[in-house]
Amino acid sequence: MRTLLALTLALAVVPSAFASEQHPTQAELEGELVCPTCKSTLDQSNAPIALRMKQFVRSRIAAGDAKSEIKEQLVAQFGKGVLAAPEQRGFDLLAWVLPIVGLLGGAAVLAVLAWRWTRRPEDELPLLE
Amino acid sequence: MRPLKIAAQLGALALVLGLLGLLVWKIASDDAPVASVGKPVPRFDLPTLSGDGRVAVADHIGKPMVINFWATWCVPCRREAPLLERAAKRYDDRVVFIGVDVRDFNGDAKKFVADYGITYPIAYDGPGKLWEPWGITGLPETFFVDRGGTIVAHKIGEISEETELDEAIRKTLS
Repeated sequence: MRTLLALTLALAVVPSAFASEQHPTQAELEGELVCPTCKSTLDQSNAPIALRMKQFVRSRIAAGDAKSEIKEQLVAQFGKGVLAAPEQRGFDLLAWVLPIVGLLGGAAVLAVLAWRWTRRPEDELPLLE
Repeated sequence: MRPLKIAAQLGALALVLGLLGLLVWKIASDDAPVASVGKPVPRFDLPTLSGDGRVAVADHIGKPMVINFWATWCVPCRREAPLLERAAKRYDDRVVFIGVDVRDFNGDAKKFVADYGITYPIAYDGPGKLWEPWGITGLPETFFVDRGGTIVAHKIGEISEETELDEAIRKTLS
């Protein structure tokens, strides 16, 4: 049952991710790109450079570019600072992995401490003759 | 168990001290001097807009300089461009003019340079690396540097009058 559910989920998620990469919408790209002068996402900004970037995104979508291609072109012009979220590759992958590692590490420490706290009173009980 | 506990405590202490160090470093670097009147001009070495060379401040120390930050999306920069180009021609050989195209599309900037017939060197800083070190607050901004490499005048916003530009350039020559 679980395998079937996982398969169904995978089949539902993968094609939509593929469609988003191949045929990105203006709205999703505006939410994933940052205006270099005001540091907010394009959909939240009406700064002149943000308007120019929106126009650029519109023209590249119309030209049939994939989402990653459009982002790469903007990164080439303005640097990685235009990406609202770090890339999921290379050194930037650390930004995604470290919080998970931190959470898991924290959970492990809490689990060990909880185990020790629950065990201690029992260990310290005086032995009854 | 005891050495393990001490090691854990030392580790935690090191972590806290490390974070504190980062905080101090951040505060200290935020207060780093930016480009302002009376201070030495910060150095930069950037590719030209056309991509076929580099523009370096260090190469021009010893000559007065006018360093203008601009972008195509900045409306006052469009009004200012012809004024700067005329001045660059008038002060040819005596003053070095440098344009820095910042946070801009390279293609748009090339068209801008062609449209306004700009002949002085233009450095391209698409990611805006100089924005914070130079303390840029908006565009356009112009810095006037004397022969000794000291900033002697600074204009935030558009230079709209030739007399204003001449007056600032005179400071670099004296």
